[in-house]
This record gives sequence, structure tokens and C-alpha cells, in this order.
Amino acid sequence: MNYDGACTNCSDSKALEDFPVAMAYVPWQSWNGVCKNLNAGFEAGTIFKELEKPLWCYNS
Amino acid sequence: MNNMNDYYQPYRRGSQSMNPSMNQSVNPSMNPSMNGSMSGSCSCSNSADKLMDMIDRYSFAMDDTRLFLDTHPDCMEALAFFRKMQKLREDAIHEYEDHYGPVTAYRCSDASDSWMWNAGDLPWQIKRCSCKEV
Repeated sequence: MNYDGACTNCSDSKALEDFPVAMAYVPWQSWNGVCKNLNAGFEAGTIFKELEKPLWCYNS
Repeated sequence: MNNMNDYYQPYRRGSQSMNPSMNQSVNPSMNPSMNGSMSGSCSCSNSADKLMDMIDRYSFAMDDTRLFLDTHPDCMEALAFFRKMQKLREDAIHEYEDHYGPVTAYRCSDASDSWMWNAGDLPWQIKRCSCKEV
């Protein structure tokens, strides 16, 4: 079993133009593997690299 | 470059190996890195601290995978990864309990014939490692 490979069973199959207008959608997450280093995932708050969204604050 | 095997030294209560030396063999599965590698080096020898950190990381990996599985119940890759983390976590807990006592009071009766929950160091008595390497 390859934990790092992309999942072939779960993906968006519906074309974007087929969705109703004026509605918000979140793209369906698919299995694309996880952090090889669990420490990094623990520190980042997620083991999924595509969900890691660090917030940067800048002082003006 | 060291890995968990280099600084994890099991000791048993009542034995004379309470201040274990480095570079003895340990369970090779006790590594929070899934490919068995680990970066950095640490000279501390607080194995209980390290093992608990590993348990935390395996637990977190299971929690995150569980969220994915809630919406992808048929994803075999995710399910296999969850089971892998589950096995590693169980191994780490057993390793901890073999040497330092039960992780939770719910598991107390599994580790010994006597009541072990109040045995060993209390959380504030455990010397914490500040190197942040696991």
C-alpha cells in the first residue's frame, strides 16, 4: 500500500459549469499522501500538506 | 545523525539501568518518522518524555486521518494509513507502559497485578527535554 500516492477513487468528477450559480463550493480533498515527518505535521497542525495554510502577520 | 534508537533506552522499575547509557537496541518501530529516519540529534536521555511525544504524534496523525475518513470512508489508502498509525501508537503505548507505568487509568489493570496508576513520577516531576526533537 502506497500512503504517498494519489487516491484514484476520490476526486471531483462533476464539471464546474454543472454546479448551480450563486453557491459556494469547497473542492473535494483527495488522498495525496501525508507528511513524511510526523513532527512537522504535528507542529503545522495537519498531516496533509495541502491543508497547511500558515498565517503570516506583518508589523507595519 | 541520531534517530530514536540512539537515545531511547528502556529501563524497568527496580533495575539498575535507570540511567541508561546510549546506543543500545530498542524497538525499531518506535520512530515517529514513517520511513524510519530522523533529523537532528539529542543528548538527553529522558526516554519517558520522548515516548510520550511519540504517542502524541501518532495520536494526532490518527485524529487527522479520522477527519479525512469521515468524508472518505471508502478510501483504502487513508484506512491503511490509519491502521498503520494505530499499530505504531499501540506499540509506543505498550513500550511506555512496560517501563514507566500506565498511560491512562483505564489501562491500569493491564500492566500489572497491582494498582500502578499512582506509581512512578508525577507529570510535574518528569524532567522535560527542551531540545524539541523526538
